[in-house]
Amino acid sequence: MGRLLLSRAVTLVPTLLLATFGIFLLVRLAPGDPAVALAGENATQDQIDLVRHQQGFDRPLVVQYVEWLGKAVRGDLGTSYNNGTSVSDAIAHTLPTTLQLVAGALLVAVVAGVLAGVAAARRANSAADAVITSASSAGAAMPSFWLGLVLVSVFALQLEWLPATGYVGFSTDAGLTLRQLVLPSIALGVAGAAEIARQLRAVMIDTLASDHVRTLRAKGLGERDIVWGHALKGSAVPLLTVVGLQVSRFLGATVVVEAVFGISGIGTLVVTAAQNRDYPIVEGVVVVLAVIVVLTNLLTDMAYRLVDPRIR
Amino acid sequence: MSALELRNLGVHLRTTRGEVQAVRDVDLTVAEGEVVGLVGESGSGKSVTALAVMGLLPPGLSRTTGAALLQGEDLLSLRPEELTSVRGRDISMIFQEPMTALDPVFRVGDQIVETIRAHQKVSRRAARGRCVEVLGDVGIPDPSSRARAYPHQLSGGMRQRVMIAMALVAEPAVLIADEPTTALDVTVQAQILGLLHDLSREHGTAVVLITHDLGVVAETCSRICTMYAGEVVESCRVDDALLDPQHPYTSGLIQAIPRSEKRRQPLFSIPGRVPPLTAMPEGCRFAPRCAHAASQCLEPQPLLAIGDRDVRCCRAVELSLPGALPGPAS
Amino acid sequence: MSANAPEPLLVVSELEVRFRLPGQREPLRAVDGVSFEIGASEVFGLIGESGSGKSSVARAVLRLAPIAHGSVTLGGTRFDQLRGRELRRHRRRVQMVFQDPHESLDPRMTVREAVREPLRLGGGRDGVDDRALECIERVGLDSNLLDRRPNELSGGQKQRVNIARALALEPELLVCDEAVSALDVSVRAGIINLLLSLQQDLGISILFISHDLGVVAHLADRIGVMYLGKLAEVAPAESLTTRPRHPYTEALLAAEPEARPSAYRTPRPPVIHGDAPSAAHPPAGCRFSTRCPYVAERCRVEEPALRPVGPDALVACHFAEELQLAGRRG
Repeated sequence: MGRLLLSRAVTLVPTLLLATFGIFLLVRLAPGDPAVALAGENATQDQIDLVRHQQGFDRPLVVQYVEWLGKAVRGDLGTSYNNGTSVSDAIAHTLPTTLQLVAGALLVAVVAGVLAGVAAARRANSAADAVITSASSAGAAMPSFWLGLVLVSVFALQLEWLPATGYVGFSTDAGLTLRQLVLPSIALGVAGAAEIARQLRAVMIDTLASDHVRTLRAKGLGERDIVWGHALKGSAVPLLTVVGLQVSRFLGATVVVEAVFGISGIGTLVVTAAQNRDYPIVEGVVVVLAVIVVLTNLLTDMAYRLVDPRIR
Repeated sequence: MSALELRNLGVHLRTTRGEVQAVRDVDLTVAEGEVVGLVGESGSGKSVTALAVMGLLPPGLSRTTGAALLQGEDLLSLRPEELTSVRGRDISMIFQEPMTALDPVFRVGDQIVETIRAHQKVSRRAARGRCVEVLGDVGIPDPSSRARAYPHQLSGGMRQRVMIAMALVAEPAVLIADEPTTALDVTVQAQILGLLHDLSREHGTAVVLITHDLGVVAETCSRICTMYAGEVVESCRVDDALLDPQHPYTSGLIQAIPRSEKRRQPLFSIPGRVPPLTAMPEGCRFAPRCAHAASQCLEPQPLLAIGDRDVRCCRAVELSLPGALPGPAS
Repeated sequence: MSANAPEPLLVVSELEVRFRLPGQREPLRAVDGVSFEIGASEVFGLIGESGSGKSSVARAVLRLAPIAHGSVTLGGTRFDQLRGRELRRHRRRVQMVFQDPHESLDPRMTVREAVREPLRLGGGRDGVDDRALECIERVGLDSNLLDRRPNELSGGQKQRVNIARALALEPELLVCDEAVSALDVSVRAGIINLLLSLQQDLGISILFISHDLGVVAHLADRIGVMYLGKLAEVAPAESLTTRPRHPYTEALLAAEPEARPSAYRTPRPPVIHGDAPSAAHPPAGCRFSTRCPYVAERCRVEEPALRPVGPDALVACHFAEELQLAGRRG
């Protein structure tokens, strides 16, 4: 396990370099001049040029990147162009909210996905299986924002069971926060549930037809013990892979769901920043997200080893 | 009362080309403590018969007819929940490939403990004690630490011993062993067959040993039942079959085995192939390949009782077929 | 071999084949110093259990495995040192037949195309079709099978196609690696007969590798017994089976089941215990010392060399002259 951690730590570095340089490039290649945005609407050309020089926008791209990198490794992600707050603070403020939303979505995805996948596999090629499979396809095809709007419309506006928007935070009011997270988690998680159900069904069907499951039946184990005690563990490796992938997907889709439900998380932060050419925020968020993705992969790899003794 | 009795067992399989009958009219009796060899080549239906008796064929795709009496009780008439309790406790089965037959993500000891607790209400500690005991019985050295191993950490022979331990831990009346040693080295095979033989004698377990190897049958079994194209063609004591086979297929199998006195001489090879399930002849299924086929062989062939043997051949009495020894049969 | 004998066709000398294992510093010595010869028109059987290295020897002879040390000489040419065009020219002299008849054939090619392929690659253009037909008929297949694809053929037929394809370039040596192990017993007999006829009619030499002692004893002129990467004994087939000189050979003969009635079976010593040690960590001294019933102190310390014992055998055992080992009746 130690060797795994070490090799992962080593791959983290080039991954981050690649990701951050890529974003650095993309953001600066986008049309629009940040010097103009910073200087203000009524600035003169001289003032704009001055801002440009002060911020270093006139220097070569690579030099700007290296400067940024130098500060970033010391923990200084810069300050926002828009309001001068520290990027690290802005991220620290919004990341926990998004992570809670992602956790909620993951819960929805795993619970719904596993139940559906197992149910479909046990009744493979039957009518029930067909229903579950088509529901999964539909779920995978549904855009998160559309689903979010539908959920808000039905459960919040018409039935008034759950709040439509907002997020107050656990420290303020835990009960309300939980209820506020329900709809957005579902909106975000359904597509993940569909993917998990589909993959698990396929793997489980193979597992249930395998030689060792035949032995389990021959020993007199009931079908329920076989499915939940053995087949699920045997299917765990591909399942973990899919679940790990969902985390990355949720981090991307969170932007849209946060917008629909009025939650100010990291998605909202980065979109606003991108629109305003607020480079430091965008770059800072990318670093953080890249680290999260690498950590997720690492956790998945560690989980493989816990579940399957042959991978050691 | 015999430990296991199959009466007129038939298995129908649903394929893309409709329903075909893979096994037809199988009669087989195994007494307590007896080891019977069920012999046949690929397509003979021997494995399908065993899986049908255990209820392990895919439910939607197969249909079993006839009776499979386990100590008098018909397995085929049991409800699924009842069959689940019977399996592993009163009748067990072990398979050919021990690598794929054991669950790779669980320790072998846990798999045995699970079997014990599926059939008896015992504490986990008691089950573990019994597990170590039974691993010792099957000849695994240092059983308490071996129980913590995963299947991939054990050799093929060890894994098969674990399978045997798991199958016999609840002391079933009948054990079906489907090609248990085919995938093992010959020295390991000899050990495993010896183990099966000794355990059967010690516990009175009736064993059905499915194999294509007549040598294995000769050394381990007291009776032999030969299957061809889904039917039993001969059933008798092993020595009788080897000395004086009554069915041309049994004789052909014996002739095909290399023998030191026929070293470097051409072996007898049965011409032709097993007919496909969808195109079985109406009469004797072996007739198209039989050197002794005559006009009466075009009629459907029942299993005839000749002395203490059963043979599915209308010409059995008049034919004198070569057996395992040089020269004509007595 | 006597001084007047013609030049042997294949000379393998001190052959070593090693494989790197992931995460291990020491490579696995699959073949650790093996020497033997095969004469023209001779069948040499190489037997051993899993981990013996016999398949690695076959692959090294075919230049399909890297040779770490030693030499392979084919008709006077250092086959192991050839490269490029020279290698391609000489490769046609050695052809192979593998275990799985189905995996060896391209499912999209007809029989005709499969047999023609080596001829086309060998550069021939005229007479390719005639030669293909000749090979097909030589292996006992009907010409109406020429346009069939593998999925329309039986296991035995597929293996015959593999043999026909191997014969297309008129090789001098045929390497058969478990070529009959995956076939049914009655089908096996036909292929064994075919191989014998190829030796007798075409004068081809055969290196026949198998774990099945019965089959090898039937086919081979001489047999080499391998254990954990080394040769234990090399002797003519007849004397090896009736009068083995290495304890491992005796153990193999004892373990092999005999398809004879009980009264006629050879009384044999009890089966040896335990599993073979891992090939990655062979024991010190004689490799068989951990399981040998006749082991002495010297065996654990000093590795015996393969040396002539008696009129025609090579044995790697310190006590080969003294031991009276049990064989099978002749």
